[in-house]
Amino acid sequence: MIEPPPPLPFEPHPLVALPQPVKPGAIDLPRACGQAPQTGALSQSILHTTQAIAEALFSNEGHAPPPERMQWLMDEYADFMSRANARGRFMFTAAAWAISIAAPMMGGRWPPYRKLGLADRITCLQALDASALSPLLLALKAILCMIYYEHPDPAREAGMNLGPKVQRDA
Amino acid sequence: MHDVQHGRDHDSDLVLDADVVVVGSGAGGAVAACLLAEAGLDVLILEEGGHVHPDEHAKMRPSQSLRHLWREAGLTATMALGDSPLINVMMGRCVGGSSMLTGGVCFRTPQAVLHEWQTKRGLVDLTAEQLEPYYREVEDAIHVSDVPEHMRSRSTQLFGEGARKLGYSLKPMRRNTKDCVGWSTCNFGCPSGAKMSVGRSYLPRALRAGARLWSDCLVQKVDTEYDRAVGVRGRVLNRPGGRPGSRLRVRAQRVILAAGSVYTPLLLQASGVGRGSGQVGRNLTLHPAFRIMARFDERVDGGQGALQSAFSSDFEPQGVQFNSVFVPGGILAATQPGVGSDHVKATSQVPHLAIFGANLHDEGGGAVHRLWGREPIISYRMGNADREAMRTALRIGAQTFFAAGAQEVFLPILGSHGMNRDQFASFMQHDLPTLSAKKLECTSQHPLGTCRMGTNAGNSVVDHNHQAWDVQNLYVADGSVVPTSLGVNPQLTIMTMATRFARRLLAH
Repeated sequence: MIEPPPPLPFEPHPLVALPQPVKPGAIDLPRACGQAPQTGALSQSILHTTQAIAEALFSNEGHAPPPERMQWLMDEYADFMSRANARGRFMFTAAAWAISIAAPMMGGRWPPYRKLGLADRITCLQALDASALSPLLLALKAILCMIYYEHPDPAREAGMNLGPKVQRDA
Repeated sequence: MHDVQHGRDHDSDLVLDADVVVVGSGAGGAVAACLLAEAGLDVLILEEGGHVHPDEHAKMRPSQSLRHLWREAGLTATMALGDSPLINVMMGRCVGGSSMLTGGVCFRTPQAVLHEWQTKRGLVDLTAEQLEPYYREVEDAIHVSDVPEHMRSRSTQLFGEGARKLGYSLKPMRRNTKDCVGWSTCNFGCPSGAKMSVGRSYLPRALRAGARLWSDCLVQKVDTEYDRAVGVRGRVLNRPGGRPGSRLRVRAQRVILAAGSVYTPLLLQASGVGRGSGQVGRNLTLHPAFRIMARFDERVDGGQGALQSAFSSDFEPQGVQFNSVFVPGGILAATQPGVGSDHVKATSQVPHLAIFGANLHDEGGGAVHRLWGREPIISYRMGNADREAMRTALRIGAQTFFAAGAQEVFLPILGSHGMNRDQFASFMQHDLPTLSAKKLECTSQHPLGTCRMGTNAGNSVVDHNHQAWDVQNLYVADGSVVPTSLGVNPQLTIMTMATRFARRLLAH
């Protein structure tokens, strides 16, 4: 269980401030005037493939994470990629596309990956991860994990402690 | 006092005059701009990135910081040449530049490096004695002090225990923080406002002294008349998607470039400056860095403590420095093996992970190459000595954690999994001696040297006063002038050299 953080002289970011689960969409960016502009977007097809990969990656005992958590993850991922540049989007599009073809083949199923059931997707992704093609998953897993564990629910489930070392008076 | 002006909100051409125009608002540009403005000059600072106040940055999650303040959302990577790793190069693209994103570590330039600059590069006035007043000035301004031992995270304490058992020690780091409470998120914003980046120190001073600062302004070329710089031109990033829009034109008596080691050489190349030397964009050093992780039986919670608090330079002769470090839980989770239940189970071990970092004092085999778009290709070839240093760092880092009682170590090698003592012993005997650098998972926060300082136009881009050899009144004041790899975090060196530059410019 995450202990509530100490009070601060100003409002800290919501994931540190809220020890309780949050509703989808409740985690807002501060109204910073210098937000990086959105320079493009991933296609819906690639986002669906990425969501299918994410559900398998973060599934536990054969169950995918709650739909609202996945929706939050994909909204955040889409926003992240929209603010990377074309080179970054191309790299992640290529990785998702390659996984959508290679993972089913490694797991003895027919592509495309996103149309497989969850159990098959897990089997195929495990097969890919255990093969020489595992680097395909590396960058995608890094970004998805970074965002996913910013959500307080999975962070709490993994036992991550988000507080500071020193408890300071307000 | 001026506020920061936002180019994205400006809907017409921008034509300005100034005594001095500074391109870039990071560690070098902010310092130079501040000192020149405080001396009474009319200073204009142009920054390509947006403006996020440190208080706003404090509220961001790591992935938000990456996408809004980091260049290319933190996804910049080198093109590896030969047996070299692909290196993720992290740079800021915001008001305050990479200074907003550092761990706050402040090392003075090592004596051995200064000696090399004097004896091999001919920079005889870059001595510790001559730099002393500039160091002090910067250290006072950004509140550099030792990180107290009680602020060390458990992760760092464990590595220290292992180091003691192996016969070497950790020393306290110096950082530019004030009242740090140990959130360990310095790279992504400081929730307690303790980190004294230029966004909290030099830039507010510069604005108070009358400097003007425009964000969202892309400088594309230095204007010259005969052999003198007379201003800069570019575009205001005010079209949808942050694309270049209105024209930007600045007339100034002096032009100072401080866009960092990757973008300053691009600007010089686009302006036709320094062609004769053949050195613009070359000699890039990166300090390739990686982390070594270990799983302990006890709960470590390594994110509680100062992000960087201790280091060991005992292996500097072998080209390695060990630095304490930590990364957000999500990034740690990404390093855990498996998918599905296997991954979830492995991730539950994250609170038991300790981390320590290693920096390589590299020989410098990189270059920056212009492409048709804004982002360049960064090529990097690792030297033989660097590969040996990599193996030394992996071996000693893992042995240190085992000496502290680790159950498993996780090395930053593509495709590798956790290793217990026996597995590591076998790895050390059979695999490590021939380990390819291509397999190393590597990052860099310290690009340096692409417009290096020197004693003649044939082997350098700027002279000892930071002025371009072939264009008068054009100066470079960022990490690109650092003549060689430092082997330590460069923030303080860059700020000190910028201070020296500004003071000398004012004296002349």
